[in-house]
Amino acid sequence: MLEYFYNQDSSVKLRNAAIVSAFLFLFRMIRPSVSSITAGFSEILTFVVIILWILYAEDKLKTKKNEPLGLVINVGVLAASVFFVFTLLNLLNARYFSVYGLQGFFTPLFLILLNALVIGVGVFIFAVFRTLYFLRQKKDLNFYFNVMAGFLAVTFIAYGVIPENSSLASLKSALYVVDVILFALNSIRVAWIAFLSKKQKITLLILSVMLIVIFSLNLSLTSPTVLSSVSKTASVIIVSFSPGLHALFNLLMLYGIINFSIVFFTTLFHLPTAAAFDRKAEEVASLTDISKLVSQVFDFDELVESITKLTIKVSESDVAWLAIKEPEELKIKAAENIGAIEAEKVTKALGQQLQEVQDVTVVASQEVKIKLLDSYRTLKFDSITIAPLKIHGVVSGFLFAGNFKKSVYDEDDLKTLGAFAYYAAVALENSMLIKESIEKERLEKELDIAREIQYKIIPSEPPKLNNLEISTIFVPAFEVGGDYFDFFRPDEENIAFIIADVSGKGISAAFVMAELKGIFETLLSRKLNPAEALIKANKILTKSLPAKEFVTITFGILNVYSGKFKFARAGHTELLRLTDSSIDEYLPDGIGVGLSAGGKFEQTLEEKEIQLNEGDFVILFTDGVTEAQNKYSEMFGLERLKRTLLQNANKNLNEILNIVMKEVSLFSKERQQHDDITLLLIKWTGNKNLTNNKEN
Amino acid sequence: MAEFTVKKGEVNQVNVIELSGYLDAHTAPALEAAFDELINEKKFKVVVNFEHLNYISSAGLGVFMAYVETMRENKGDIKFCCLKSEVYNIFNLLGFPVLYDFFETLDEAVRKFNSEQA
Repeated sequence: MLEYFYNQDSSVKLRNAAIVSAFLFLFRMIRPSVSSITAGFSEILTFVVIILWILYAEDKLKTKKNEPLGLVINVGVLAASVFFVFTLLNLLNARYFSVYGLQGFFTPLFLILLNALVIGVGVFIFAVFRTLYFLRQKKDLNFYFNVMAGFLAVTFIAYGVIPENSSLASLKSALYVVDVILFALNSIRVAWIAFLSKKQKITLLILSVMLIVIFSLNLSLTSPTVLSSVSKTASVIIVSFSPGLHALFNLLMLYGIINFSIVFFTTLFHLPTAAAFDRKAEEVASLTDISKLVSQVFDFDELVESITKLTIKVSESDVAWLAIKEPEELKIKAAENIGAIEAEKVTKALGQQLQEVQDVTVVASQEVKIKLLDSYRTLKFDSITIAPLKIHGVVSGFLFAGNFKKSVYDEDDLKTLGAFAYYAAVALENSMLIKESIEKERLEKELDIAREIQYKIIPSEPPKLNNLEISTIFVPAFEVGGDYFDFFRPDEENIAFIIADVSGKGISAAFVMAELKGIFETLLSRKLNPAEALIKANKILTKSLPAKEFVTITFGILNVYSGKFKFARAGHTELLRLTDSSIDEYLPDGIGVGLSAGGKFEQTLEEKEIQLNEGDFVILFTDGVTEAQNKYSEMFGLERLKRTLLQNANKNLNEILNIVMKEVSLFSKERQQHDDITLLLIKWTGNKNLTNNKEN
Repeated sequence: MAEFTVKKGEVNQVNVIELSGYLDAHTAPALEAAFDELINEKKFKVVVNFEHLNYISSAGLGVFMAYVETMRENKGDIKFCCLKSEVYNIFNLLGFPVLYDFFETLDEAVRKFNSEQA
């Protein structure tokens, strides 16, 4: 049945306890002094009240079990309050409350409240004892405790119902003795003490002395053999309410004295090892911390900082720093309680020794002279412990823990630091891998965006003109590539076209392309010749291009009526003109845009003018075509391109483009395309408008 | 693909960088590092020997553009020698010969430096 109540919800327990308490209260208000018949009933009611409150109190204490010292202090305060109240009562005229004349309303109420205080304190103390008893216990001790609790219950009933002069009176004393023996046996369960810190243990030592005193005073209150007036007052008041309660409170105080005497001595014996125990606990906590770091922190900088901080805790050192091996030297990534520059000097001073460090190593007394600005400082280390950060047997860096004060490291300390360094190395490795993969993803994303911009800038369809056939092909490469081409109509008579190759890649190349488009769009409205336009474009672009990037451009303007074609080349590939029977290449002088900030560009740029004949092709391309490579690293080359074009001169534009692309991809099929491929074919079909006009 | 290598040497107080293999965006950082070292050592007269270089991409060309200013500001220069015709063609298309000195042999390039000094 008790189990049923035990498993109830906390609120239900509170309700049950309150209901029965209220019932007891009413009963004792109506019948302040009990006859032998009602006494038994009152006793059992009191017993039930106590049990129910204990059940509730235990529930409440579950949340407090991590603060055993707080519980102990509460017990002390409550126990002291009982003594205080009864002492005060005695000082005021105790006779006034004589139980032999219980009349009126206030006297019984006051007496009930006094007993309620005793019950409350008793319940709380019992619940705390039980909580402490099971605290940090690994074994199942329920049986031992329950036996003790059972005997206490039996004792309560026995004292409550067996009258003083009965033949069974000696049974009460026997039970009392058994209880005391059980107390002593159960009091050795004080495992929780071991887990207190040194400071807490010292506090507990003082607390237990105080508690023993308070419990002793309370014991004397309820002890029939002590004949002080206070004890008489208290005993009379409690016994007249419930003799069982009197016995229980008395026993609890006794239990408290025994228990805290043992606590006192146990704590005393634990004190010398307390510091060592603290350190071990700290180490375990630090290892837990770092395993949390491994799984939660991926930011490299945050990680090295936390690791260095934890190193001080783990190794109990004064200073700590972390160095990572980089191609040329060891780089200090984090330093705690020591300046980064100082840490670097000390690391340099250790120099050659580091090369051989494969396991945790202690370097004894190290003096390092440090020059900061103009003053010299000497750091005198009693010892520096070096833990290598090792992954798959490769040392990627070191953790340093320095001590100025005298310090001794035993084998265990070094092992702990080694384990710590191992976790740290794993965490750092993870963070670097994640960083790399994020970076790679970012680059891929950037290339995607750049590619999208490129597609938007390049015309999707060549313009359709009466005297002209235009066909284009653009094959982007996966990685590099900054090809751009475009067509403009400066006026009705002319068409301008541009082909360009921007060095560099990604967003920055796409940005240059957009700039190119804007520049030429603007320049063309000003009716400039190709060379003039390129010179202006060079001036603008040289300012925005990074030092190692450049753009090659061929820019031409064709009069669609006359077939007159003017063009200029800034570092770009050859321009080809294909007729039925011949192919010519043009390479007028001109250096790439962005190559020279001086006047060389203007000085060298040459503009060429040629007269196209009806049916002539103008062919423009980027180096993606000619530099396409086969598996022997040979290039497709200009000659091969010219030959292919010439062989197919009589075909239509799209056919020619397809054949050239087929040739290029066949040639380079073993290799990944590594640059954009762009090819423009422009066929001047002659002045049909003019011919038509003539016919009319 | 031939491995890209950078070898540094010195002929008559002129620094020689010998390249071989394939110079592109992936291998350019190694060449950049060589130039950085030279600048750190305050060596500004450099001949780049292309004898064993098979290919140069635009990223490779960019390296010379990035460093030539520093060399020239310090009374030095970057000169080129011994280029294979395919590699020279790439430089030539871009107009490099207008801005840089190209030589058939290493000896000529070094001699040019020494005559400039005199």
